[in-house]
Amino acid sequence: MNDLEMEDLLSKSLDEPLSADESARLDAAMAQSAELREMARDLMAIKAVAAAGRPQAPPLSEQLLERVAATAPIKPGLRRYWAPMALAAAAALIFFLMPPQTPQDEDTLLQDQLYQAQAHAGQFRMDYHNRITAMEGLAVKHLSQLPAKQAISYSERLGFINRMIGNCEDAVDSAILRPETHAGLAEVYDAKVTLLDLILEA
Amino acid sequence: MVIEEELIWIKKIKNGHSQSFGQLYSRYADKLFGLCFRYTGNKSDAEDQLQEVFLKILQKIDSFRAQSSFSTWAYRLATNHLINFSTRRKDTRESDLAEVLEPAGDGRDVPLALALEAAVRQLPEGYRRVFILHDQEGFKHEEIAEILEINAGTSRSQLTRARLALREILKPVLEQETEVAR
Repeated sequence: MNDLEMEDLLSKSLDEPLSADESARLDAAMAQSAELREMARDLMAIKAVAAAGRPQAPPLSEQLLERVAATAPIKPGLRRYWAPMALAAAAALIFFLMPPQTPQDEDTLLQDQLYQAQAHAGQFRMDYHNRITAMEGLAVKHLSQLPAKQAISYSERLGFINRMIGNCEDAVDSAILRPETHAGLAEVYDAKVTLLDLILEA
Repeated sequence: MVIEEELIWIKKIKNGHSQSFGQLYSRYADKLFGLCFRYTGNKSDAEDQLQEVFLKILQKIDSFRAQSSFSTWAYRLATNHLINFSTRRKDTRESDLAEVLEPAGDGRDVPLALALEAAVRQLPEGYRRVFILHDQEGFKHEEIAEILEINAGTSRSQLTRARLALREILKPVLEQETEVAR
């Protein structure tokens, strides 16, 4: 066996168990060569410190989220239709499950939310998530208080509401990631009215 | 299970769902940061490069076809990015490794670790990338083969050559350590 093969074997022995034959050959070579023993000691020392010093990654930063927003791969078709409709669902749910407000109040509220979304993306997402969770709780409570014969239609409503809740979360992400969806605000209001009719007729 | 979960996240990311990007970040940030730190040598640069790597993942996610695991695909992308980065940046900034090692206080050989970090930078790129992935980041040869698109035998032989080259570079430090031990 030449030196090159012995070096390979020595290096391999640092990472995995050798076969009985390989082990016997390496032992025999090391017994005869002080240089090989020294090499084994040095390579072990190098391997022992190689993995030292592994710092922890920073948490996901606002700066990265902003850069993500500029490069997020949202598909053109979805960008056009999906985000405004999902935002409409979010607004409809707020209207349906929260105390009544005047249209002017609603306009201000929605615009303020979108502004807040841009300004405080991370915090806003968390607040919105909590509100959506609270809405879901209200919807379930509402359903449980209904007479049994109305339960089926209200189950369907709950299913619909749950789908809308999913869309709400996507809408929030989309609004944060894609400020240009704000331009579709008028469409959002139109869609919201249609959606409210559907919910109230159910 | 992990792979299925990741495929769902990736599908959502392709549809612009930022929450799934956050989940992917949480799973891979520490691992990829380790790699960034090996190539940059300091935390500040590593943080910058981690951002670049994640943005690159996002930009190229449409080209991920699940023919390999996401982990392999992401490491391949990160390794190529970091090799380009270190080729472009020739200046060697001060290393933060000492700062990272000191608080560990676990009896590691700090002078040898610092000398090793400098020595790794002197290796030819082929040896360096295999040494980093195997001895510093803990990948198996089969995984390295997939990441670097080489065969496992090449990975093994490059690791041996890398270790021997490092031994030559580190000889003065290793001899000094032997003297102290006696």
